[in-house]
Amino acid sequence: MISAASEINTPSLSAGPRLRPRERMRALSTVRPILARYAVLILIIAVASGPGLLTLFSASSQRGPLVVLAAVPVLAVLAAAALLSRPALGPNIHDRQLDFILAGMATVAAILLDLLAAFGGDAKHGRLDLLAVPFTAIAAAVMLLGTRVFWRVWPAAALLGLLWPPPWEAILRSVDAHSGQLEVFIGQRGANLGTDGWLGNPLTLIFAGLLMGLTATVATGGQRHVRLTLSLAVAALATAAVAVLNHLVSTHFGDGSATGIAAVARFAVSLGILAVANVAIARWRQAPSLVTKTRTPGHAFSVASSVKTAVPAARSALIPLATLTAVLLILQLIAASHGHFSTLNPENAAAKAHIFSARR
Amino acid sequence: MTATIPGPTTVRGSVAPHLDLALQAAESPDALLAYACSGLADNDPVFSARRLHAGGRGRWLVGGAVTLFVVAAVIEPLAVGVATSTLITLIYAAALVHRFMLMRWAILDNATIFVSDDEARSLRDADLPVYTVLVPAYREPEVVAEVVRAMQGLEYPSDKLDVLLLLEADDAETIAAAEKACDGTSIRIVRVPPAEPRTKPKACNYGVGLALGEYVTIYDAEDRPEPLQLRRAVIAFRQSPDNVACLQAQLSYHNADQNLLTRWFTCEYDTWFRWLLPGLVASGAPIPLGGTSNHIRRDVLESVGCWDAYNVTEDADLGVRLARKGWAVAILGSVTFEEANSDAINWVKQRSRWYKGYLQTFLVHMRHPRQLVRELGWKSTLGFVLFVAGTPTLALFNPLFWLLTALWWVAQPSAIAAMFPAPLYHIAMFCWVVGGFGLLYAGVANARASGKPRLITAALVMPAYWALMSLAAMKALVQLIWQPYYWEKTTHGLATTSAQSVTAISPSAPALIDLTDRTVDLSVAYEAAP
Repeated sequence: MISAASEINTPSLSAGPRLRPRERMRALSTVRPILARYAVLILIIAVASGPGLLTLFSASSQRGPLVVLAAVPVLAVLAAAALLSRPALGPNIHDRQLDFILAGMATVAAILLDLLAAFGGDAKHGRLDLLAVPFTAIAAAVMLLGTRVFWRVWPAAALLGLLWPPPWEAILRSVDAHSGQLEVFIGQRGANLGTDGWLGNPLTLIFAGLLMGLTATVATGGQRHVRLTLSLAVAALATAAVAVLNHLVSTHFGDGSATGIAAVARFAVSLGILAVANVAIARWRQAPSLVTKTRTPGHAFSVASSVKTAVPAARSALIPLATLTAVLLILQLIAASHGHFSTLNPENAAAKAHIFSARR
Repeated sequence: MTATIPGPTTVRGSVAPHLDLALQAAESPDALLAYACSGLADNDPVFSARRLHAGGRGRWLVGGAVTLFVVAAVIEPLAVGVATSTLITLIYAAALVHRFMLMRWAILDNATIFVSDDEARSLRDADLPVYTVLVPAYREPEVVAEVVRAMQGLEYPSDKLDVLLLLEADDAETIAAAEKACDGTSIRIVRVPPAEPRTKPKACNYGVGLALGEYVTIYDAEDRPEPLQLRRAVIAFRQSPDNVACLQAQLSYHNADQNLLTRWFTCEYDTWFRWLLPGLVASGAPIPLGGTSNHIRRDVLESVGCWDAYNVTEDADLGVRLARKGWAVAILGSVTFEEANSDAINWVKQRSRWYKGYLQTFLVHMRHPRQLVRELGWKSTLGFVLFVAGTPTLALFNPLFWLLTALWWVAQPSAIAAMFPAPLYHIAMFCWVVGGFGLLYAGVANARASGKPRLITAALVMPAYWALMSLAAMKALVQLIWQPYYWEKTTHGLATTSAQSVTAISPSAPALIDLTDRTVDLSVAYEAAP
């Protein structure tokens, strides 16, 4: 049995308001292994959820508003970074048994969903493999970082739940049913924009704005209403900027093919703006420290703050994590080969098209 | 003071000390330590959790049953699925009905004993017995000073107050803090020699051997007992039937408003001590005593073998053992304020120990079920099973049913539909809807009844608290198998309201008196409500 407290690494950092270069390097060398964990965590989630995520990214070749969901993983990572930049609170109490129990529950949920995606032909809703992604993230994060660190970033893991298309599809169906009203609402110009390409589609913009708002909420912890409102405004502005830029790109390069320069440029620009906006939101909420140029530990992406909470020794997590990754990857590949959803199998293009097809 | 104390009227066994602990302590400290560690396990092994795991034959039986279940599940998955869901659903239904019955009984016939302030103060000091207070602490130097202040705040003559601070001899830090805090007081610091198992009951057993009082009570290091509690207990004992061996005071939290977790914890404790335990008293079922503030006649305590050093909820076990020996437990209307766990991980650790202890207690007392039924009767045995075993077991089952429900929502697998044929489905749905609503309603009603309407919002979102309970139950099960005697230490001193609370319970502070009075009034009002 694993001892409750025997496998805890507690990096001790003495980060002051202003670190000298040498001290900064020393602090960085201390936290580097922890930063490596974050990288490993992202890698594990990417591999374990790879096939499902690939189908999502490949949907960029389709012109459906739901393609903006491809930005969700990026937004989740940014939100997690923002959350980790907040000062670590709470006592230095840890429990490795609890870590494994929590991770075990998330693992069971992820595997069940992937099993249903692979073999549950009678499943009511599709894309259960994507619904498994947040559970995969929870399992991996808890095993690798411990429950206490995970608790700081759980909203980011929950954000990954937005990858699941059925609720969005339900919204689209509802919008389709009221498309006339929608066009009145957004105006004829907006409706015309919608024919210019998926990133100019008003529905895409709405979804992107919604995603941005949710991400901003997560990044700010949802604690300060004023800041939340302003963050949403920033998100809306960023979304509008995306729309304008894409319209300009469309005007100059034409609609083009999905793999053409226009699509790539739009995608890159859009993601770039989304990323910058999120970073700006996360940094902005630490405005006082930015204004005064004196960062205190735990503020505005200071590396030290993200590791103030102890994390478990990695070796106890390696075998379970490797097993989890392998099992989930195999299940998703089986699901792909069975073709309930996957775009990896060309024969199932119709299924993919059904899910990610343009609604307008 | 009016109270009905039901329960067994025939006390089995004499009140002669199981072992003359005081004599033992004087003659041989080693023998006292041995008794503290394994006195009950050696003298009454059937009541001890020391040999909790099944022996050779038992292991084969358990292994065989598990194997049979797995094989059957592989061969006939549907039949096994239906049988399992039926069994669990029936347990849910029985436990829910029992909980609601307990609340009803508590409201109709609240057996809590209330002693007014005037009555408590009317006793002359000369008429008071020597009272022993055991305060076990381990690695808690930060709270020792506060508990010393709380002990000094008790309204009891100092020459009759025998306070023993029980510290592990190798816990130098706490001993140093205690020596500093106890300087100039009559509190005795007892250094319990290091020995396995390192549990609170072992320290308490050691303390009983050195106790001088006619009555014994236990306070945790972070406790703030109401100043008149000992006087109220003395009067309650004197006015209760002879078979009442123990009084359980009510527990609540001084840092209820610290965060959502402490609000949930307070809601739960208020329901526990206002409705569920009084309901158990009214039903005649064994009372799983709370960890602190249980006041016990020392002669009875020694006659039943003190605490089981191997049981991690030794108090709950003692309550059941008392009932089996024919003694009754009553609830005392006096509040001890504790520190609510304000950190989720710390909370899970603490709760997992409680659940593990409940499972230990259930397994110990179900070793000979027919004997248990003979001693307690069918009704009380059923109450014991549903309450002591049901509490952690339902918390274990909850995630399974939540998962099935979620899977049904997202995928509607036909296997889940097949597991719940129509009659079973309706019972399960009744448990889910009516049970869930009823428990939420009870939480809200109790928040109002206990004069804490600010907790209503927390009571409404209690299902999230149930999720934490499930995590704790799983941890408890894991530890029950691999670490059955491991004492999961709870970290204290995380409250942000400790300083104010100490002030609030000082004898001269009127706040607590007001609070106590209000408690009494509200309870009476609630009794009258139906």
